Amino acid sequence: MKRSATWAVIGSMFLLHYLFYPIWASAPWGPDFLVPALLLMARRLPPGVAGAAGCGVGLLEASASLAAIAPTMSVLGVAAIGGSWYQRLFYFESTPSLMAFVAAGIWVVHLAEALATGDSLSLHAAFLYGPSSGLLSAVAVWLLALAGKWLSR
Amino acid sequence: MNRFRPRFGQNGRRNEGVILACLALACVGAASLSPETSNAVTAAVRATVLRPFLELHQAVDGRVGRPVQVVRAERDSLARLLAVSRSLDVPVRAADGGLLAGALRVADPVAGDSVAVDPVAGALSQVAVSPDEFLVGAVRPGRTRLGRARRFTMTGVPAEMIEFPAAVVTAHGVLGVARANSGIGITGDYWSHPDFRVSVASDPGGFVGIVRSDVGPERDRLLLETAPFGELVPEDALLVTTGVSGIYPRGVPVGWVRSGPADGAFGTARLYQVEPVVSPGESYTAMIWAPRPPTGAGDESGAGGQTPGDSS
Repeated sequence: MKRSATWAVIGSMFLLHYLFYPIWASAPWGPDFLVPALLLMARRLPPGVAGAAGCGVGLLEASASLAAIAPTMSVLGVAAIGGSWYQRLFYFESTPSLMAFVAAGIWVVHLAEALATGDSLSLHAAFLYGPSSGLLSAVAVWLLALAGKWLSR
Repeated sequence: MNRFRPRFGQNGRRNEGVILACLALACVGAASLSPETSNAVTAAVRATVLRPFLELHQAVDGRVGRPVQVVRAERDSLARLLAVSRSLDVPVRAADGGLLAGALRVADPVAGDSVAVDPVAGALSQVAVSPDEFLVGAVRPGRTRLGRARRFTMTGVPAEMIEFPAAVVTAHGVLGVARANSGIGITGDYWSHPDFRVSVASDPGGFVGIVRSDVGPERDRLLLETAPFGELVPEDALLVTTGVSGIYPRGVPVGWVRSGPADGAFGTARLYQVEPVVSPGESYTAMIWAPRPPTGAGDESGAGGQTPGDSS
């Protein structure tokens, strides 16, 4: 996929997240577009810049979800830095590894976000909604990437 | 090497370190913000960057929400219930699950039903209740992805008419408290928020206590604390707001006593588990209470005094 198409896919994921925010907010098991967009963006940026982007996205997300600002900023900032370093250490581009990266990343970030903001985390939320959201998001990212490839032909 | 793979030189590493240090400082700074400043930051972001999205959500909400007439009917019914409660100087009493209808039936002297005596009469009767004092709006939960909603946004209500904090109720009972104008809409806390407190009276009367949230791993409940040590609260007693703080109108149902007592701190009070009448964390068409000060009265009238521990 061309670089411009990649950024278009990432941008459209941010847009989709905020356009349909009430739907995602009421379905914790559903796909999440914010964290994969952040992780995919972080793969293409140096850690510092990725961290700054993560903190900015965290501020937006805290304002939308009314969560505590500092924990949300910190978690998304650290996630972006981690995504950037992960790509640097374990370089990968294949679709299966990308999907695994997105699915696992979403689960970890959602767990960390809930714990950092002091939310009471139920077992089914942690071990059912989290993985389900990760898998559905990975599939959604794959479909968006296919669309991006098709558009960039 | 792929063009996307980040590469760092000596200078790049130093710059990265500076950026990361600045980010860490920003996060520490954000953590030390007061709740008022945090609310202001949130309001600023919501009123600028997120505004187009939030306005779009509001517009969609307006099209697919519950018919306003239904909620207005509920509001009028609730106002009548509270007016009956105030004029009789008694708390309302519901025999079964149908709270509003049941409470009206039981509290209405015309129907010939018994009413309970309110121990906190007098100081509470300043609160005027008319349907116009309840403004109808849409409540939407705000939550992290896996966490439970403790806060909400309320839209469709003119925020400039509200004096914060203000009661947010449904036709069934207390939902939470509105805290601030968030730029676009109002932000507030469900009763499940750790900062939530409300003073309650039992039905039939005999004591006054403070109710707060009791967060559990699977389910949030309420906890009645500061109940008198020497007095047993009967199971299934309905707790209603006393209106002492002036934030809640008097007589709004809060929950039923379900279990207890357990000894509280220092052994001077007993704790009771309370089952709330309204579930938190869901979307509602709810009402915010915006009482108007009585004509010819000073600033203090109608609001009542804020009692310690009754912050909401």
